[in-house]
Amino acid sequence: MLGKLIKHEWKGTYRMGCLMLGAMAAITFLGWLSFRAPVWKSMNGGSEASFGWLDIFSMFTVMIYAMLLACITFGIRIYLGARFYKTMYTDEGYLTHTLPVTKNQILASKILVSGLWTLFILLSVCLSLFILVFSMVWTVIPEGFLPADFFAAVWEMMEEMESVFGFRAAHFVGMWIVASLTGVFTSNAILFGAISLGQLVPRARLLMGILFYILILVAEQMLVSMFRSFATTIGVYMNINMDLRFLIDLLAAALLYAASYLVISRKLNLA
Amino acid sequence: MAWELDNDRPIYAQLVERLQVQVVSGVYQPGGKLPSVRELAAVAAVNPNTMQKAFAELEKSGLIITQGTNGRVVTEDERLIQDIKRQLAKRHGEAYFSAMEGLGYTRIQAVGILQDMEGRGEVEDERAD
Amino acid sequence: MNELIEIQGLTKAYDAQHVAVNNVSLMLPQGKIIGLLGPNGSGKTTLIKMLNGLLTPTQGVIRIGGRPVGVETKAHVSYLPDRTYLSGNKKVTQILDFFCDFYADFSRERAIGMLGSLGVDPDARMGTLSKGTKEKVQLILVMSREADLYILDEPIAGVDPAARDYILRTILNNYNPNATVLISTHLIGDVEQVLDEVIFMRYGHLVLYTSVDNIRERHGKSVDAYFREVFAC
Repeated sequence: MLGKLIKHEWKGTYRMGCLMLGAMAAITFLGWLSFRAPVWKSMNGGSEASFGWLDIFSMFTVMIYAMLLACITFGIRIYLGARFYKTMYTDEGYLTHTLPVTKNQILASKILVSGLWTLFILLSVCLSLFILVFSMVWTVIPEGFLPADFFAAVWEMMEEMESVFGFRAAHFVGMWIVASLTGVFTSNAILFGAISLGQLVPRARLLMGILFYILILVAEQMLVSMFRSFATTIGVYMNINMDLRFLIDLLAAALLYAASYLVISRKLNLA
Repeated sequence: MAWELDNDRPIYAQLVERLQVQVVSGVYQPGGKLPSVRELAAVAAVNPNTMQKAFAELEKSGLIITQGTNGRVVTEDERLIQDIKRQLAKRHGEAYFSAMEGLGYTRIQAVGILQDMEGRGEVEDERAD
Repeated sequence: MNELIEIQGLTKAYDAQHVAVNNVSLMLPQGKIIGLLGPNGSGKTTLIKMLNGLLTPTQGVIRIGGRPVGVETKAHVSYLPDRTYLSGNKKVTQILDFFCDFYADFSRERAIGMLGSLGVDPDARMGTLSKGTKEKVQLILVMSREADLYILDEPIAGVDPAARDYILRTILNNYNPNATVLISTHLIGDVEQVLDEVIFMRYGHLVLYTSVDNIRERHGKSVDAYFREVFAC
C-alpha cells in the first residue's frame, strides 16, 4: 500500500513540481543572459565601463533572478505545506483518513515524495547558481578558468583553515552533504508536524500551524547558537555548527513526526 | 416509477396487496414467471428485504410458488386466484361501507345508492344493445 | 442473526459541556438497510465519524465484523461523507484509478456503467462538474464497492426529488443482501420505504432502535409521523 500511496502522491505533485523545475530553468537562462551584457566583459579589460541601457537592464535581471530563486525555494515549501494541509485536514482528509492504510504509511509517503521534490529543487538551485557563477566568471576572466580549478581553490582554502583553526575540512564537507540530503526530508517532517500541531487548537488551525512552524525554526536556531557558544575557535565553531544543525534537525524531525502521528491517530477532528 | 404507499400500515402488507392485485388483474398470468425480489424492489423503490417478506407471505398463501433455480411463478390454481380476488373485493366493500357509515348511511341505504348508480348504467347498456 | 457492528458504551465528548455521543450501545446485524435518524446536532455524524476512524472515541468500544476500527475495517467499509472529498483538479478516470488501487472490492466496470448512464464524461475534471453531479459521482464511487458496510451520511440532504430518486435507486440497485447500509438523515419520509430498521438519536443518546414495520404495526403511523411525535418540542 505504501507503494500505491507514493505513486498517487507523486502523481498529485507532479505538475507543480515540474512547473517549478521549469521555472528554475527559465530564470537560470535569464541569469545567464544577464551576464552577456557588455559591462561584464569590459570589467575584464579594466577599460572604462561604457554603461549602456543594456547594462542597467542586466543589473535588473540579475536582481530579478535572485528574487525568483528565493521565491521558488520558498514556493516549493509553501506548496508542499499547503498540499499536506489540504489532503490531511480539509474535506479531502475524509478520503485520506478512510483509506485502508496505516497512519505511518500516509505520513511516510507524504514526507518521502515532498522530500524528493525538495531535493530536486535544491539540486536545481545548486545547478543554477553553478551555471550562473561560471557564466559570470568566464565573461570576466575568459582565459582558461575551469570549474575544477575553482573547487580546488575552495578546497585548498579549507585545508588551510584546518591548519589554522582546528577546523576539520573533510568532516565539514561530509556533514554538509549528509545534512543537506537528510535535510530535504527532515524539513518536510518538521513542516508537516507543525501543521498537524495546529489541528490541536480549536480555531484558526492553519494559521496556528504556520505559527508553530516559525516557533520551531526559531527554537532550533536558539538551540544551535546556545551550544556553539562553547566553541573556542572559529574552526571548532563551524564544525559544531554543522554537526548541531544536523543532529537537532534529526531530533526535531523525529519529535514532529511523532506529533503528526499522534494528531492523526488520536486527535483527528475534521471540520 | 416508485409505488405509492400508505403511511399508516406496514410496508410489506401493502406490497402483498399490490402483488395480489397484479396477479388477480392478470399483470402476472397464472403459471407466469415473476421478476426477482431485487428487480421488483428496485422498481417499487422499496427495501429488498421487505419485498422478500411480502413474497414469503404470498408463498405461504400459495399464490406464488418457488421453483428452485427457475425463480418464482404464479400459481395455476384458478380457484385460489378467484378466492383472493373475492377477498380483495370484500375488503373494498368494507372500506366503502365504513366510509358510508361515516356519512350517516346504514348499510342497506349504502347498497341502495350503489344499485341506483349501477341501474343507470344498466339502462345505458340496454340502449346500446 | 449475524452481528456486523457492535457498539458498547460509546461516548464522544469534545469538552466537558459538549458531549456529542453519550453512552450509546448498539448491535447492528448484517444484511439490513438501517436509517440513522435524528434532528441536526443529535450526534449522527459524530457516530459515523467514529465508525470510520475519523474521530477517536472518548470511551467505549466499536467493532465492525469483530475487528476494532482500523486498516482492516476501512477496507470493508464504504463511506459517503456529507461533503465533497474529491480534489477538483482530478479527472474522473484518475479518481477511478485511485479507488481501484486502494480498494480491492472496487468494481471499475460498475462505476463506468453508472457514470455512463448518468452521462458523465470520464475525462471531465471534477471541478467542472455541477455540485449535484459531483455528489452523484461520489455516490457511484461508494456504491461501486462490494463492501460489508456502506455508511451514507445525509445522502439526500438538499437535493431535488429527481436526484433523491436517483440516489435511492442507486443504493437499492447496488445493494448486496449480505451487506448492511447505514443511512443517516433527518428527512425520514423520503427514505422510509427503503429502510428495514431505524435508529433514533437525540442529544447524543440512543432513543430507539427498531424495525420500520414494527413502528407502523404498533403505532399505526409512518416512521416519519412517529418521529415527529417523539421529537415534538
